Amino acid sequence: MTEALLMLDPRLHLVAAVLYGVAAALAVLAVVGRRDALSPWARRFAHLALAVHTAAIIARWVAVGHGPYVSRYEVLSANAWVAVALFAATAMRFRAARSLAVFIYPSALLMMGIGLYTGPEVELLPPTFSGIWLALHVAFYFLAFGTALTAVGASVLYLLKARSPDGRLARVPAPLELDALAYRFGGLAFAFWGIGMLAGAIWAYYAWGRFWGWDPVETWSLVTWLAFALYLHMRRFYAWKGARAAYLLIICFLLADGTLFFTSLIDGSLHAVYFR
Amino acid sequence: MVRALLSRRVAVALIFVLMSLVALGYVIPRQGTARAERFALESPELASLLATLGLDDIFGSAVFAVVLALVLIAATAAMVHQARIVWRRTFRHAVPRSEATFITDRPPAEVAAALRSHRYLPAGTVLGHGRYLRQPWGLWGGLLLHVGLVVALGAGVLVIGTERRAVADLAVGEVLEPEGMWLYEAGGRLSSPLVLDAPLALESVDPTFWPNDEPRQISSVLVFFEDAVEETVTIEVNRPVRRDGLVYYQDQAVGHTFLLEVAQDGVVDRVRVDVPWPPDRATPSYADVALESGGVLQLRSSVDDSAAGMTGAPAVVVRHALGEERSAAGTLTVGVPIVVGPVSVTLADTLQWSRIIVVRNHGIGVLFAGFFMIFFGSALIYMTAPREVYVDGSGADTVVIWRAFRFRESVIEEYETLRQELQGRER
Repeated sequence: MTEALLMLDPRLHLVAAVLYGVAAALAVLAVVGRRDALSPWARRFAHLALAVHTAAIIARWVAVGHGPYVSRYEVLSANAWVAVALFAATAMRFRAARSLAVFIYPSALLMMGIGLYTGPEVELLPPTFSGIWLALHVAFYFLAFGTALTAVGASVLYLLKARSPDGRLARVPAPLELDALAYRFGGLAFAFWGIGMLAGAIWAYYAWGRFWGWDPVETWSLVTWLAFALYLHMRRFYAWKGARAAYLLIICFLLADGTLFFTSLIDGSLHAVYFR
Repeated sequence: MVRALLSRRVAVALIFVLMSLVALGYVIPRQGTARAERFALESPELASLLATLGLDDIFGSAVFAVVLALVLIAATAAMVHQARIVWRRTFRHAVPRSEATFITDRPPAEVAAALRSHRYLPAGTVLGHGRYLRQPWGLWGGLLLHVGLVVALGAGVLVIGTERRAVADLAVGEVLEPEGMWLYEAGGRLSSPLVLDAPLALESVDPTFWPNDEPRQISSVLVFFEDAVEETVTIEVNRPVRRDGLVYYQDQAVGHTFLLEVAQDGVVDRVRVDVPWPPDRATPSYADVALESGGVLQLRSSVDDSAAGMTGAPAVVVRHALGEERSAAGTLTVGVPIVVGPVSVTLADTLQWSRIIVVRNHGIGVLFAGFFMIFFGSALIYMTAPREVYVDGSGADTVVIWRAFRFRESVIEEYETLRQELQGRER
């Protein structure tokens, strides 16, 4: 049973990646190529990909006995899943968010591709990797990444749309709507990132007897959180909006990427136990 | 002073300075870390200069503490400011002006019913206008966020100042007295030396391993001797035990203790050597112990493959070193003396040892409560868009004034929908 599930997992991931690729191509054609009829098809393919992706994650979870948070393959897969699921929910609630499909689906494809390239080898859990606080820690970082990706997608679209309002992106919502979307999701990323840090601190408290150790990942996580706080304060106090706010949010997102995917590779980080 | 700390310029500057200090604290190797030791070897002059300037421990520096204190004061001032704002908005006594205003010939009761269908809640009257609120709890997000910041920062200072942490490596059967011989003990400036409420002994250690030899879980059974009563507790990695204000943690360091009798020139010394558990079946672990005679005994411990995998009895080899001279190595067996160099070594017993961490602190619960407030405050701010509607039915027509406190662009559709439902027209 376990062997069969482990065989099935990368194949399902590959199928999901292909479906995300089809959804991404259709979304780009719909938005940039102004072929509105393709938009629902992009959504359908993305939902199908999400269903297959869900099956892949469940299969692996059952086979290896732990959630998708240890190896790079698992973490990238979970990040892609949360980003697409969050986008699906957001697109139902906010019509303005639907055009972000041109950003979210290709991002999901990229994460799945890198994950598959690194390989689905199973990493066994060290004794510190257990408990509800670990689950909350990783879950909120997945949410933080998903919301930050949505926010930065809105910012990038804002910049492109503002440069050429009636050009290829004529179907994209008004810049003001995109700007407001980026602000809200940037704020949510700040909140989720904060609770991820909190849960991580509690987990560290139980696992190592200390809640903060200035580990590279902890340090850069705090820098990223403060950068998001700076972004929110610039918007609130100095009424930053538009291009300036968009560029600052992109910097915050790059910091978040560095923290999540690169600082854990630094020798001496407690987080180096995964992502090797 | 408070007014200055409330200024937006100071708030933004403080966040920027704190962020820069944290980043700088990472870039410059921190004293006491392996990275700092490497840096001191590679660039001794620069390392010395940074140490002289106090930049090798930014997080423990007075500058960092002052910035944190200023952030705390600014956050407190912002909290008071937020409280005033939220009170004024929730219990408003004036009707605001808004561009989103329309007139309808529908009576106020019908307007109220339409608002209720859009999940607006009645909030009394203000100067003859009926007031309705949607997601009013979202107004309190900013206050909750800033209260959380103040609570978390205040508790953080308390925890850092009062925390005391001690580490002991205990062999099975060994007793640690209340004012124990710690391997390491450190704490904040307000903390006092750590004293156990009762002697404790390590009864057993139980490491388990994955098939690839990596550790799966480590547990230790501790026995407390209090007033002739023995209390047994089990600690595991990630599952500490709290007892009488102290928390006992299982560290990931465990290994074998070799009790040796070392004889030289007719003098017998009893020597204890703690060797870490071998990393895997193919890799031994090592430990050295200095002898009073000036030489060093070097031990190599590996897992006995013929036994039960990683948990089998260890095979231990010893040799004697003095300067560049190394004796031939010999395998130790309980009770059998072997000669290595100038000494005769007898393995008296093999035990297991386990590293226990004991922590005493105050304010952790408050700290975490502060973080939760920050989260819920942020969620209230960014997941809700509180808005209000005023309904004036004093004239022939009903006047409807709609206003969003934030994210107007995201919810302006609701105003248009209301206007269509009530067949409103421009004022």
